[in-house]
Amino acid sequence: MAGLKEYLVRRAVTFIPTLLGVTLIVFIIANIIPADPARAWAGGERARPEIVARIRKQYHLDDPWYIQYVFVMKGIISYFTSPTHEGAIIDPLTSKYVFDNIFLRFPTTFQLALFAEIFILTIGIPLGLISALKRNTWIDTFVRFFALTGTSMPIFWFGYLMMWVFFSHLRWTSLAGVPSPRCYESGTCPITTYIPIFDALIAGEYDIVMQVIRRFWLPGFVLGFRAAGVLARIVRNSFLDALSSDFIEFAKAKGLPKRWIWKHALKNAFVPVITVIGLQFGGLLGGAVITETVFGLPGIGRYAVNSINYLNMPAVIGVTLMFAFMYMLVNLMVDIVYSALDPRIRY
Amino acid sequence: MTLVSEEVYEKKILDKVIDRLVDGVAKVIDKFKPGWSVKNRSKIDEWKLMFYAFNRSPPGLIGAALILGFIAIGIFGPYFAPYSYRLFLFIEHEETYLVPPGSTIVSKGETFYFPLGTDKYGRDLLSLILYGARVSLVVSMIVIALGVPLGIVLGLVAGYFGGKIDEIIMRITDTFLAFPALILAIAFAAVLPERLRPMIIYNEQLKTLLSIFFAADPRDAANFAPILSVILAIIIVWWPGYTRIIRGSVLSVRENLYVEAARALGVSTWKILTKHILPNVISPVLVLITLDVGAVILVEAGLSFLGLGAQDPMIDWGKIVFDGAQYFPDRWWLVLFPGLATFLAVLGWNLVGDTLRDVLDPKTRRSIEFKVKKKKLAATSEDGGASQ
Amino acid sequence: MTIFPTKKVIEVKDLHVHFYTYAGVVKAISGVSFEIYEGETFCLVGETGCGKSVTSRALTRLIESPGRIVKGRIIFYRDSGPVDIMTLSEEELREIRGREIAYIFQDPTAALDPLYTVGYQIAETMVAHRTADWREAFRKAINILKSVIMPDPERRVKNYPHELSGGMRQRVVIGVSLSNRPKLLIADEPTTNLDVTIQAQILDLLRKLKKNEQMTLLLITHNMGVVAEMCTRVAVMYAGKIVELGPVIDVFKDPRHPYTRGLLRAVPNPLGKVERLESIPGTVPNLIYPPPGCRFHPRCPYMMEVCKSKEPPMVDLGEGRKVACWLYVK
Repeated sequence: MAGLKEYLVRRAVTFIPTLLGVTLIVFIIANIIPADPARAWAGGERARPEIVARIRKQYHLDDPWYIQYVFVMKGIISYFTSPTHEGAIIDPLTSKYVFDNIFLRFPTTFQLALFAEIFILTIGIPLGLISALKRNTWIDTFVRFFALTGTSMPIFWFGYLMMWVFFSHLRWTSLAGVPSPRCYESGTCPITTYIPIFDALIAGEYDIVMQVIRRFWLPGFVLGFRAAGVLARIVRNSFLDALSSDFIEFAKAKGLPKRWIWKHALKNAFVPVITVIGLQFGGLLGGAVITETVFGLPGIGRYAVNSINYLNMPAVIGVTLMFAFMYMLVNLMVDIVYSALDPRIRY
Repeated sequence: MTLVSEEVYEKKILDKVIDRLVDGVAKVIDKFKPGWSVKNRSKIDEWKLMFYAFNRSPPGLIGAALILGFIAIGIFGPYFAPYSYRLFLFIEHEETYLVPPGSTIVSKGETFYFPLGTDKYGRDLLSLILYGARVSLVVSMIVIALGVPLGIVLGLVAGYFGGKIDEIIMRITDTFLAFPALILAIAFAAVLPERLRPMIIYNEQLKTLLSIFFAADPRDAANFAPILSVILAIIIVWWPGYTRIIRGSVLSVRENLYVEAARALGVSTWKILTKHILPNVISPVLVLITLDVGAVILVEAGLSFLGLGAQDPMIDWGKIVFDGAQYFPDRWWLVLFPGLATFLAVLGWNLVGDTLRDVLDPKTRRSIEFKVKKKKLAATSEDGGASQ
Repeated sequence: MTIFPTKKVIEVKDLHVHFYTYAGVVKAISGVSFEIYEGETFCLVGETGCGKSVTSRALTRLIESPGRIVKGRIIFYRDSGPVDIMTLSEEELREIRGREIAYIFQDPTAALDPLYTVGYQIAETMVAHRTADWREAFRKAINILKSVIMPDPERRVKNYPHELSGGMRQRVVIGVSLSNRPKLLIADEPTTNLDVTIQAQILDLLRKLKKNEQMTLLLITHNMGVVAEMCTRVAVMYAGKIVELGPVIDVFKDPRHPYTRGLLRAVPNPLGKVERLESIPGTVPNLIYPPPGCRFHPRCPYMMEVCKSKEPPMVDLGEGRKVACWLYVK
């Protein structure tokens, strides 16, 4: 697997210019604002001039754009390189490091995405396979309809409808707070992953696990609904493509047992599906912002929305970078799986 | 029979209407370019055939109806709205605060009827939805009209010229594609209004133009900026997808013999791009454009649901839900109706896009066409396709 | 001059295959009958779309929906005695496919699964038929690659299809088919998608293997040169029917059916002198609404009244020659 290592290095090298470009775009975004955000951060019209002046100096608001860019980049890098976070970029409203704020909220967004992805895969893949096998029957029509509805549904609207059914009427979900394992308080967690559901599972606090599920399943379902239908259609089409390919016919002519033929067809069908799963993840992150707002989940998306309302640009920069980074990371992972699956992709 | 092939098609009323329409359009073009319709006979017939195939698909027809409804409401809705979006009845008539659908309110000698209820300002929800349709329509049309051509042109240039230009364009494209689209749109929509607001306020022509576009009162000019920002933000995240797709197809089309021949004959680059390459790369994008109109409507609604986009008193579908969500589920109508409107509008575009995909794909279209053909053919014909 | 083998390998009787499409029922094969004898190379020739491939696939019922074998018997003479392929269960059929009757398909690039090594694809054919376990099968795969004259087989066995050239891939496909030493090998246009130089090599290989393994070969082609070079007996197909059948030398020297004559005049006849090439006027008929009577009559220069309405019977001309044409009905 020396080839794989080399491939990863090469991928990482192309990762860096894209990431730099990403920071540049984010910086442009921050610089579009001509209005003076310092006053807003200091508390609006009644802010004391000396505080406003101090903030202006601290964030280099009076300096030329390249000095500001270097300042922002330094602020991002030094958070991750310096153990004391010396010089790291600070959220002007909470006076905490921006990335501290983000990482505090990361587990919530992660769990939301996790539940959504579980729904996408467990609904999308089986439904796609069934729809391919029962082509042109009512179930195929249903999947087509399901995918069309999913892509047409405003996620916030679907969220409220589901909330009305499952919270207001059935009480199958809770909407308040975010459960976290007791061992966080007592400091007795055997291993800490910082993801509550994993830590609760490891610590054996199954009631907390159930609470997390109760809190997150519905937002996860709402977030995954759109992608699940689309994925089902993709799985269907690529499975049908694989089944009608010559090598499957040849496999039949070879007299392979049915299950082996399936193995060939499935493996080939999943090569394109994996790319789609990676691409859908971007939409998932965007949808997460809306879903968090609908269900009152204190995740990164909520942080971003709140920051926007206060012109809190350091936070917007941090969040946008964080999301871009997560998206790129997932696609890197997809590429690795892809190259492991398909020998035609050169390491 | 005007079809090229000798095959007989069974025509329903809708097909005949569309035949007339296509012929009418051809006649109009003929007026400007004499001889056009004779030269493009087969093209016209091809169009008719495509419509026949489309007319066989009930989902496609439902979608087309939804789209027509959406466009009609978007254009004319504001003029038929019973009340203006700026009419805060609540100030004068306290009884109009959040009344449920179908209520008739009699207050201070005046009678009001609210078929879909009112919001917290006592504004008529039906009117708000009609005004909101205009914003959705305008935003989605402007984004598609500007963003898609931008992406296509960049893709054409990158793919055709290659080299350094390609490298630069694709680097930028990839960087934009590295963001989750909605996240980037949120960031741009958040910061742009501050920059745009003075531009609109001090530019009378732009102010007038936008107030016509949004069917809004020019007094709300300061609030045009957030909507304009949303438009810009969506354009910014929308073009890269097209650039990448078009570049890919240009790369393969460029190698074709007819392009090489055209180049060897000294045809100008502009002509090669527009006459020989563009027509061959555009058709796969047509379906995507249709689907993307729906996607843009969704993104726009999503952004205004997050508090970006329309600001009070301006209104759009996402904004109504954004305002009404705090009263959910007790005052359900503020979420249900605008969301339903969004859903149906987007569904229309998606249904048509999905059907178009089948109709434009030669493989599936043949099978649809066969269904259209008269059954009689089988009985009388002695050798079906033998006579080419 | 011609050898008349006696032991049959497979016998097809009145085979009909229909495809149920939107446009109507395509009668791809209508009443095809022939038998193949042990040790011979039997050729099916005809234009594209005449039903050669469908016939070959029908032999082991490899017809996918919307196609269906609507009528006919296919008797396969196994070592244990004759069986009717039409009455076998799916599992019994599976045991015959790839083991006793093996196929080589036209496009070697598409016939191999891109995600598995060629060694695996050869080995699984043996394991599926329990002629070897995995370890042994992989070892045998190297020998098989050697036998199809693959250069550097120890290394190639670990290659993926995309790492091989077209000719090498076809060798792999042949290797897969030979791995269980089948009684009957069906080669469906095995050289059509290959370079001319490689074509000769592959045909050479097939001939050599056939000799070494004492196989029976059913060769499907539209190339008259290949027919002349490879075949013992030939059946000419037109529009889903066999129009002429006989030993290849006789048919080439003295074609009886007007279609065969046209076909031989349309290509440089490898066994005879032709002044100039001619084309057959008209086009292949639509098989949804085939012409009544003889299917060739709209294009036939010798057309008679009877051809328009009545189907010609298969006339036995003796010496193993048969022709379906009214010219020979006494």
